[in-house]
Amino acid sequence: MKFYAPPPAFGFEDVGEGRDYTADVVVVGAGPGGSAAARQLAAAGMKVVVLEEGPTTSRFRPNFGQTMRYHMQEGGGMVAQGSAIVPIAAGRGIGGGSLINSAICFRTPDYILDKWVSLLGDERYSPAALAPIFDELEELLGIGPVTEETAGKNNELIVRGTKIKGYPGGLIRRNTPFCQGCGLCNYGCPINGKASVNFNLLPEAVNDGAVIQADVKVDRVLVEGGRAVGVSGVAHHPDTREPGGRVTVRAPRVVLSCGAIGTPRLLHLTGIADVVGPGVGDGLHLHPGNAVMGVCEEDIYLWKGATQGAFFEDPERLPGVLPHAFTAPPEATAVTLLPMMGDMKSAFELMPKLCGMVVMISDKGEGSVGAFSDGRARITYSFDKNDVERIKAGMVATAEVLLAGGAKQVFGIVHGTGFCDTAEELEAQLSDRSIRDFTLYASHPMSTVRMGRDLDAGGQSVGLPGLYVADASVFPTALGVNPQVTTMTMGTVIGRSIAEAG
Amino acid sequence: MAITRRHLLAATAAAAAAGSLGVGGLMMRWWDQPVDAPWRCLSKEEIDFLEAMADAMFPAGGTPPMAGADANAARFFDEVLSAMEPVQAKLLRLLFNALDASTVPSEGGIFSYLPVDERRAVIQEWLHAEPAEYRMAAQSVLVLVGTAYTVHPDTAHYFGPMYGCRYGA
Repeated sequence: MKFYAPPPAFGFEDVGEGRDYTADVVVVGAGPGGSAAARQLAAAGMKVVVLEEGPTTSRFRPNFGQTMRYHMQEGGGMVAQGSAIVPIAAGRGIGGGSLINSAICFRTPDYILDKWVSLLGDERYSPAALAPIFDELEELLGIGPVTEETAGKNNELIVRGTKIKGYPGGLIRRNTPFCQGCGLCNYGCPINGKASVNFNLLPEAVNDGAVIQADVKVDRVLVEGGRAVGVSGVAHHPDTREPGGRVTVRAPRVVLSCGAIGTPRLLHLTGIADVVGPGVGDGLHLHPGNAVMGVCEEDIYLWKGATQGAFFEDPERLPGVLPHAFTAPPEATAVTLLPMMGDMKSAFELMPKLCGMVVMISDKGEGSVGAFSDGRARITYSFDKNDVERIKAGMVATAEVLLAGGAKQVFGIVHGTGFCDTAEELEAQLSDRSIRDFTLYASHPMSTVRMGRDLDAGGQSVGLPGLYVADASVFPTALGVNPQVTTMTMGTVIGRSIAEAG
Repeated sequence: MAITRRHLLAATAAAAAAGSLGVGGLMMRWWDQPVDAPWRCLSKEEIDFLEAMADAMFPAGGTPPMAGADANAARFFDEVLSAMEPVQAKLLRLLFNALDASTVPSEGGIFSYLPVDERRAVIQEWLHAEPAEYRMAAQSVLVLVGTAYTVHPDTAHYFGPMYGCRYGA
């Protein structure tokens, strides 16, 4: 494992009235995909400039207002509309989504990679070809299972219930080598216990000569002679949002790593989406999820312990369904209880007794990402009927696990339902609920600028030479597992591909 | 995934909620609500609404004992809105105004000026209302008011020790 000091970065003050760079490659976005690509490109001896919208240093406090303000794209206000409303989270900062995710690490499932090889006709994405990259990342990021010391009672209950019900599962693998079980991963780790990419991939890129310019929101891709030749954006003060000078990076290779919402948004905003590929922004997958909670006799304090540190699965009966531990700060947990409890103080008194899981699915439904004229992402999404049925089935199975693990009652965070003594009772309550009654959430947007449609298998645009994408946008299909390891892996392959092409 | 994020206010949900209240003409006025200095982002009406929400949600006593009226909820919102995209912040303000006015037809007055028991009953109605956009928009505001309450120095230590590393305690 390597754990470096966070890399230095230029910020708003360094831009002044404007700043120009020239480089061999510009990478837009310092998250998992961009960092992995930058590391490969810098190691190959290329001059790399990384532009990042977020601040030079992490701004963590144990309150979500702070996280929204500094470390979420669009201040945390992104939402998909369509058959239901689904808030979407996307990270921002030097480390991107890895700063505020739950640090869950799954390798890309073999059956998904086999599908991608078939779609792309490229063996670079086979399980055998990617295995060494997975091995390297797991070693570098210190990925390992949650320890019993840091698991916390919610995760312990889930593991117990999973064993009793006979499901595969258990404590999850995370990139948290120094975790103390704070449960604050989604705010940002206060003790640097999480190996987000600002502690490993990015420092190695900087050690090989990469330069990071933070506080800059890129608003256009520069195109000349039918090629991408750079990017440009405006610096913003990280605290006041006061606009500063313009930063322009001219480079014959432009790698967009703004995420599956941010990348197509930028391409639409620049007016080149139709040039880049035939479906830029289309095919959005979200991995939507809904929570099931349990009420126990003993204190659980579900926000204590390794964030989302346990899971189960049943690929035969519940294909593409991945329930894992639920975590939420006290105030959010309390509000979900408010319709049933009547007042917040009563909700606060019940909260320590709660356990919970979130049921995430690999969605067949799809959406699209565009851009409003004011620059915000315009996101639509439609659920597939099969997705709705799988969420319900997953919630019932999850209720069984929680009850087996020690909960005395369960409830879904679904309008029109209440406390249930059995999983069958929850199933009956869910049977006539429409997707609009569910309190959905998504933090894994993907597949919006896809390999095999908008990009070739090396991540380059099929219509605009010099333009590459290296983030979760490139996934040809939904993934079915938490995406950060896959995103870093794809960034690694794409970075190597660009470097080898010279 | 933290539930807080699922309740974050949708800018478009705010507009949908306001539209469903049938107050289209008022939307234009609310869109351009002036800010009342020294606040950076909020008008006096919006401040009154947020304080009224906190007061209704968190009576004094119990655990923690602090009343919501003492939580400086409006100050918290002013900070959060100041860092949002300007259009997002405006739509959130639009929602505050829409929710505040939503009680006029049924209760005879805006939410901010209703007695506290009536405000609590209205909050419960919002949580069970149709359409779903309305419920979600209301839940989003409630979660943010709840965040304002739990990060106040006089309550934070009740929740800080709940975190294993005592960060923020």
